[in-house]
Amino acid sequence: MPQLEDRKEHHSELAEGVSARVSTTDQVQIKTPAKICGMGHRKKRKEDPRFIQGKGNYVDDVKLPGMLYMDIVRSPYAHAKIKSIDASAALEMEGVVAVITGEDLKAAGNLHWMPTLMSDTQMVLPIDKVVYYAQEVCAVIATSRYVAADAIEQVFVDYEPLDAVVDPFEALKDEVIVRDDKEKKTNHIWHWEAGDKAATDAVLKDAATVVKEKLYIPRIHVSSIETCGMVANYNKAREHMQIYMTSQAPHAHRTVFALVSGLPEHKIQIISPDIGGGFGGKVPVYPGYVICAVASLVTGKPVKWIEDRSENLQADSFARDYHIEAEMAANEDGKITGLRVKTLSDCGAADAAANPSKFPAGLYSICTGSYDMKAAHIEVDGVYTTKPPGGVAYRCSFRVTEAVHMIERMTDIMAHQLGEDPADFRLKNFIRPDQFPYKSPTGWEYDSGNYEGALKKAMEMIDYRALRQEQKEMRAKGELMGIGISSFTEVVGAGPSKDYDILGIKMFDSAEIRIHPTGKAMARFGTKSQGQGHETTYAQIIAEELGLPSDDIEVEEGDTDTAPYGLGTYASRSTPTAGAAAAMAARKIKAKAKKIAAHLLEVGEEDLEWNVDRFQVKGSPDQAKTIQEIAFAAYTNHPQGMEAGLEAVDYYDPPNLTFPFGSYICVVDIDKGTGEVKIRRFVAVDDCGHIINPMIVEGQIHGGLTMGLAPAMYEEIVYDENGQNLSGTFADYLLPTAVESPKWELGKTITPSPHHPIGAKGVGESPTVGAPPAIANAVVDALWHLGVRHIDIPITPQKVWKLLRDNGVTD
Amino acid sequence: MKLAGDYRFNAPAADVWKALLDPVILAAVMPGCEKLELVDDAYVGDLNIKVGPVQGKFHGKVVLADVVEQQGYTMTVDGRGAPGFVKAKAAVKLTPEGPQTVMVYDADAQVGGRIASVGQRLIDSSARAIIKESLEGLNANITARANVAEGEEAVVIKASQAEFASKVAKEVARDLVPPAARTALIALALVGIGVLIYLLVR
Repeated sequence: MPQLEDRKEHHSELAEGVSARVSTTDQVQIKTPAKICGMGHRKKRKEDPRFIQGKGNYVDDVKLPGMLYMDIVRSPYAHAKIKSIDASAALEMEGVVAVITGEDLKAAGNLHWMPTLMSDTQMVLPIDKVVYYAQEVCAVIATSRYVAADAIEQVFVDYEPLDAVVDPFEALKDEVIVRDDKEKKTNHIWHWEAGDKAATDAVLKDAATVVKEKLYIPRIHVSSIETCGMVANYNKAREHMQIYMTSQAPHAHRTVFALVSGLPEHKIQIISPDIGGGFGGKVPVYPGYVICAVASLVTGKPVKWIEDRSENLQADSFARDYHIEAEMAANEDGKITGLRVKTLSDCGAADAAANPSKFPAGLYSICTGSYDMKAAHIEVDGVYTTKPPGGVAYRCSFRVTEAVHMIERMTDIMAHQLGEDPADFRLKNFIRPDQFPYKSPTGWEYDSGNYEGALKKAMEMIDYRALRQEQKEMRAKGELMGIGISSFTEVVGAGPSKDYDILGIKMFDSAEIRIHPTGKAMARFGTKSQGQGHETTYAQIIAEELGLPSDDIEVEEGDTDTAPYGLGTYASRSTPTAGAAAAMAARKIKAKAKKIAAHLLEVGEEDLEWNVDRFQVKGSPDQAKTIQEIAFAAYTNHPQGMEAGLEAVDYYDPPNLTFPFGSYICVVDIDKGTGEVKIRRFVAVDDCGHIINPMIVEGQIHGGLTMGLAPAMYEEIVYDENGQNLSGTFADYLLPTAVESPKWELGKTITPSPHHPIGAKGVGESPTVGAPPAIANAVVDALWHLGVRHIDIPITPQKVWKLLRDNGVTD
Repeated sequence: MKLAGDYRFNAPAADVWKALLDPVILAAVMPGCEKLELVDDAYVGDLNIKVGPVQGKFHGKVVLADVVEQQGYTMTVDGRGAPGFVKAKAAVKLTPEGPQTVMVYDADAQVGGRIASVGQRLIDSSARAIIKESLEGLNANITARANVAEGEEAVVIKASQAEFASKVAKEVARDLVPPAARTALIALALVGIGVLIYLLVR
């Protein structure tokens, strides 16, 4: 593979400035003046003027001439046979154009089933059986949205109810088989292990102390402000399918559509316009998308489908739903020695998680977290139940939230069990800064970290020792106050092509930069912002590398006809992959720019040096050519024998993932009468390596912390024993608002990634991952002296009140 | 969902029994009932149900079993419609107490679909209101029949939708508002209405 080797060498040469030795600072590095506004500047987001003026362009804003509208008939049963579907009354309604059933999709080329991202299969529309509540049963296409909504009530489906199986432990008994389409009549899908079983068993056997706990990480929903939707526009004359779609990964979706539908890939254009939040929920391909595309193929007209809020909450992919049993071992000195984890993953009616192919439980084996230990062993089993499929990485790298919640809870339980202060216990057990790159017992190579630095900073910001003193005094008075710590390690930026692919497509990402003759630039990416601010941060990376003002760089994503191929935005991978590609493509341009500058200045390349936005002759800075002058020359006066133009593409295959981390401290006061938990203070110290735009990072952390507060105290999708979703509206599925959210106090340390071209790591998801255990630990810390060892999230007033009553604190 | 309770009719068991098996009266007293027919051993009909934000037509079948004249029966309810489904088993018992008859009912209902997921907070209160309204309507009809003069046709007293809606609201308020706050809330509402009227007629 000489080509690959060449590419690798080329890459490592371009990856200048990266060093194996990293140190931690708390100062953001700024190398460019404000007019260029490269990395480190608090640049206001370029996308915001259109958003705050209501000029965004979302899928539902797309209106095409002659457009039809789709609505979906959904199953009221979690498990039932379909005896018949009578659509005659609906078809008689004025304005109803068609009703599409599973039989129609089957006739159209077996489109009634589709592959999931985990190589399982999932029904698009059923022929004879539904397997979850709110499952798509058939679709009505009509000339208006209102007619479509009225017509679905006129479709009469005759069901024969079957027993539902909601509890995954019950499902393992195989008394009710969810997927009888499969050859093996069992609900057990897969078994997956990581780490060293024998070594872990030995460590646990010889341990001085072992703590054991069962934790449930409940099923939750991303509930982004924009629901999913599509406008499919098939042009029969051109045999071309144009699709507007709420997609976090437009290129991957184009390939999936080509494979599923048989349409040639060059005749499919997917445009992902402005997206109102994705959080992993817009990675999967939902049945609605496929039906909508088929509806356009069948009618030859544009068809729009926009989910309503309840459909989005009830039928779209869920997140989490892990039943965990963990054991942690420690020796006489209070050093953690080992971790044994068994987990049941409730997959719903299909394994439709959005994980890299090789990792059915995602990156869950990162669960030894920030702590150095000898051995760990993790087992996970996937199970079918009659619930909607999913398992998306809700604002986290695949399954890291579950892993972090477990390890941070277990660490706190162990500290309390040993009678040690949870902060001191962590400081004693952290992987030390000199141990990086650190090889974890489950096989991860952590790139860089300084865990004690982050925790000490958080302790200083919140005055930890004084809080412990206050807690002691309050407890003496009978008041309940708790302090919770979470010192998480995230793992983001999937991922190196050696291990990471989705349906075989390697998880690189891409950037293409074109510098125009007047020194302005257009940059396109394979990722897709859903609110992350890519138009600003990518421009700042290019500005940093090329000295072009970031305002002179137009960033575009989401149109598969123009953007280079990429795997999309999720799992905090944009900066680690496409952000790196931006730097690499810029460096390719810089290499050519140097040749042009040498030609213009009539010197040798070796006589030139780079200075912010220009090449200058060493020792004679007056003799210089700015990047703008060079760009003009690239089209007007380029050297003989050189290609004209100034542009480059880079497909960046990261050598490793990045490992952002942080330490959060939460202080709670508990109302003894009502069980209400009040968050008094919340300090979050994050370390995401070099910071591209501090304001965007802070904004992401604010949002992420609130999305961490949500499952910690409010969110849970609840089903009754028949598989009925009891939290199908925002009246029952609770989201925290500004009223519930505490003041987030932020701090930072900066420990660059040694392998990333600009030393950056992902950050958008760290707070979602890190916040829930800080809150849970604080509540348990307040109640530990009463004998409380663990409370499953969401920590509702009812749960706390019951514990207080059971322990005689209240009546 | 469990629904259990009792109701006292101001009529002897024979009259109550007769009314309970009369589809015309049943259709009249059940809020939202559009059609009710006795087909073989089962009542078949259409019911318009509104629970919170969800409303729609249910097509249902009620099969009676274990029928003991003037004493009771069990019934199996199977209703389906665009907003979801209802499946229920209920036992109904009549016991004469002097000139009155006491009905004791005990039902186990399973509700699914949109009506459950969107309207679930209101299902209990709505179901109780439907039962209460129906039984009161039944009682009114039985009393009216007993008082009808010889040779005259009895007038069927129909359930009023507005009255039913206000009863549902009361049941919901009873469920959601703690008793201590209820008086204050009602006072507040009355003041609000007063202010509104004042502003309108001023």
